Amino acid sequence: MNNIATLLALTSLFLLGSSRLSLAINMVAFQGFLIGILPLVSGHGFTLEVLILAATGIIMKSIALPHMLRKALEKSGTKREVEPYISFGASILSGILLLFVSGWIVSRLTQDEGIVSSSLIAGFFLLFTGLFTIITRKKALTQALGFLVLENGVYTAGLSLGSEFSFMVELGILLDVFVGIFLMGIMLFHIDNEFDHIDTDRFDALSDLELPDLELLNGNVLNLDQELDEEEGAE
Amino acid sequence: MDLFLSAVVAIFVGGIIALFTGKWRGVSNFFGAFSCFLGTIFALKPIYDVLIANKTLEAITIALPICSASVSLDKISAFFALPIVILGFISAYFAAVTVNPRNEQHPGAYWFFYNLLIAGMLSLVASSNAVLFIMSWEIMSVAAYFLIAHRVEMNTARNAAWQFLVASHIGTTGIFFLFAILASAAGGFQFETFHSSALAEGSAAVIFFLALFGFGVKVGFFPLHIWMPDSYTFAESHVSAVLSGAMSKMGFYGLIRVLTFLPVHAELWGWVLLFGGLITGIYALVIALVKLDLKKVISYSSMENAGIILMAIGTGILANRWNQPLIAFTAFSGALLHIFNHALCKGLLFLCAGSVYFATGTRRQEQMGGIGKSMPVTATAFGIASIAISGLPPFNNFISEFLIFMSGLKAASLSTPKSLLLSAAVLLGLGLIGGLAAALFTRSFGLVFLGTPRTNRRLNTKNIKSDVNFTLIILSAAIIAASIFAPMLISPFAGVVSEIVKPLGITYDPAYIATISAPVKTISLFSLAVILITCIAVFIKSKFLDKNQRSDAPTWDCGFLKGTPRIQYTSSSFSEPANEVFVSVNRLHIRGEKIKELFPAKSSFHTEATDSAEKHLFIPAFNIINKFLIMFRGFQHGKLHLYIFYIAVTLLALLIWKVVY
Repeated sequence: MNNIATLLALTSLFLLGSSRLSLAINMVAFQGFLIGILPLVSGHGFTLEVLILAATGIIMKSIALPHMLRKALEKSGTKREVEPYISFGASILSGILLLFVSGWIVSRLTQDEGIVSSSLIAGFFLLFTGLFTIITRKKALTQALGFLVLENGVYTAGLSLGSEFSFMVELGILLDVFVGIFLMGIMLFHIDNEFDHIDTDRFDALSDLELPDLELLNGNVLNLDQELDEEEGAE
Repeated sequence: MDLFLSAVVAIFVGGIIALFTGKWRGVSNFFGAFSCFLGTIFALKPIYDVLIANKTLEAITIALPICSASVSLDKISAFFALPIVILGFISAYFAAVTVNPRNEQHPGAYWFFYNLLIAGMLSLVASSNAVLFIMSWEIMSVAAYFLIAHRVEMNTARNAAWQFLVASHIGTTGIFFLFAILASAAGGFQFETFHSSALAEGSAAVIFFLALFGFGVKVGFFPLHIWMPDSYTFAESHVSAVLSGAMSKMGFYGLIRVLTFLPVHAELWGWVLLFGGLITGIYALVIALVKLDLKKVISYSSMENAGIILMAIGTGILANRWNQPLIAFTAFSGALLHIFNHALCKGLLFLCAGSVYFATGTRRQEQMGGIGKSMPVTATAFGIASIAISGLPPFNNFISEFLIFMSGLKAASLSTPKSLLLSAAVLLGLGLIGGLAAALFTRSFGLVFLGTPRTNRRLNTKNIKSDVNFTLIILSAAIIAASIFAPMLISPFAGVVSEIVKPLGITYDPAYIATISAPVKTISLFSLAVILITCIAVFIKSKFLDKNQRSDAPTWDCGFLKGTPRIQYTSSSFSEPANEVFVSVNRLHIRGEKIKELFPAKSSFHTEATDSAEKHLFIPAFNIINKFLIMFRGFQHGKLHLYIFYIAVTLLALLIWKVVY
């Protein structure tokens, strides 16, 4: 359990530091595999439910979704994440900081029980890393990866918190992630087709929010003739 | 009560079916309109039972998610359901035969929102629970919003609808607060519990003023009316008929309903309603006189009538305060009668305007003229409605205004300073309002229907099927019936009045009904005589005198040779004398010079009128708010990363806050 948690944290740190997208996808696939075997070692025994959960987790997170993202990557012709808002080195440092923060939060949260669960720390860390990736990276594909990591975090935290192991909830989360990534894959394809790039920082051109001109507002006294003309034009 | 509820459900379900059958125009039209007919006819029976047969219907309790709410139909509810039912029926018919056959309209969405509006209003009047009341109120407002915005091809319609939505929600906050205060005092949301609750003197006043604010938005209380003219103008005509004839009456319903919750009515409230109504009425007409748009004129007239009704309610409250039951009774009866009459007249006026719009394709009065010859039914109906709405005999609004006058006159006989002030306000105010209204509708009628056409625009009377005329004839007949049978309306309405004042511990002497019926009977007889004589005269003229006598000749051309149709009186020239008096109110903006020399050069003249309340009150106020809120616009930059950053920071902060404390 502890080893898997450590590996999860390491993969996330690796993700923060890598600029090559195909490597990042592989890393997330590996993470998905780790997540998949997590239920097996979490001490719930080898019941049918646990086996199904592990199998669907591995198939979906380490095979199906990475495959989908890889195809999207091929189609878009992008190779690297360039110029993130926070550079890769700084990202790793922030990752370590986030690891400390999640360790601190978990130690405070589980103070009463006296045991600090390393997989819970990993869960929080994955969650923060996922958010961090979404915020600081520009390629839509990296953001999809960030989302996947975030969901992995939620899953891990849920598993390590769950005294009552809830099979349906976990499966539900898996389905959620699958649909989310699936949609993102489709959207990536369309965005790339439409804009020739998948840089999300340029999406704000789509924003319909413009600062209104106060002068214009002042002059916006409804003019009857204009209204009538407009209407007659529309008829 | 079952019947009433099933009527509401029938209308609602019909709207949903119409929505899903929107692809097939005829099917959708059929379900939408037919369910409306069915529902409104069903609803008439319980209304009749309550209002005229004096039965009490058992309340039904419905389970809502949070609490259970009961619906019941007392006399006040039944009275206010009456305009909804009448106009809901007629407008549905009008819509089925005119608007929806046109191709650009999506009939499904239209019928859905129309039926939702009618069903919402009916459930509003029936709900005797604050939660259900607010829910119905919101359903009604939102449905109305979509109906106004339904003409998507017009930018202005969307603006008007937006204005309506904002105004309506600002008003709804007032209603929320007032019910919150009432419910916390009474410990429940049922209306019965409100009656018995012990309210502090101060909180009663707060509730009243919140009600005046919240419901005042709907009725068009100055200066909360600014959404009203635009919304009524840009909606389809039959929608305007329902909005003005029925929906704005819901404001009065709410106000009166809240008044019944309050154990004591302070004198101040009466004065506020009286002078607020007076200002509303006069202001509306002064602005209406400079408006060029036919429907806008009619919209402002709605506001004017709201002013008259508010004045009457104010008079009633004051008279109750002074222990003058007869005056109060007369004033309240006049108010109710006027609500009913105004619903009929305003419905007819808007439908006429719609009919004119179909024929001419414009609402600009200055481009009409001479339509009366080719559309005699519309002209007659508009004429009847104009006379009625100006409060002139022989029609029904004269009778209701007469009752209000009568209360003012009787107040004068008390000869205390306050009562003299009251009667001066009522008598002079109503006189001025009546005169201005007569001028306004003379202008509109003359410009639209009389004279010769001002443009070469070809009249498209083909659109005006006999079905359209049928609705106009029905409403005209209803106005005439309401004039002739007015004495018979008084006793059922008196029941409503006594229900309004019952919580105050006041009961009116049943003999009062006879007291005020007597003069009304005389007026009705006179009305009957005038109408009959007019009919006979018209009949004789058309039968015996009209033969081969008609010839077209130029009208008197004021000494100008080669007069064109444009030399006729325009709407600006007609209302110019009034404008000179009221220029400080309407702030008419004039461009161009009047001609002074004998041999003038080419010149132009142009006037522009905006609503002063909008221009000088709301736009500056909203600009100030905007200047403050614009500081927060920086957060809305469209950068996805930063949006997610906000979420992340919030999440982290909450987590840390949680673990630290």
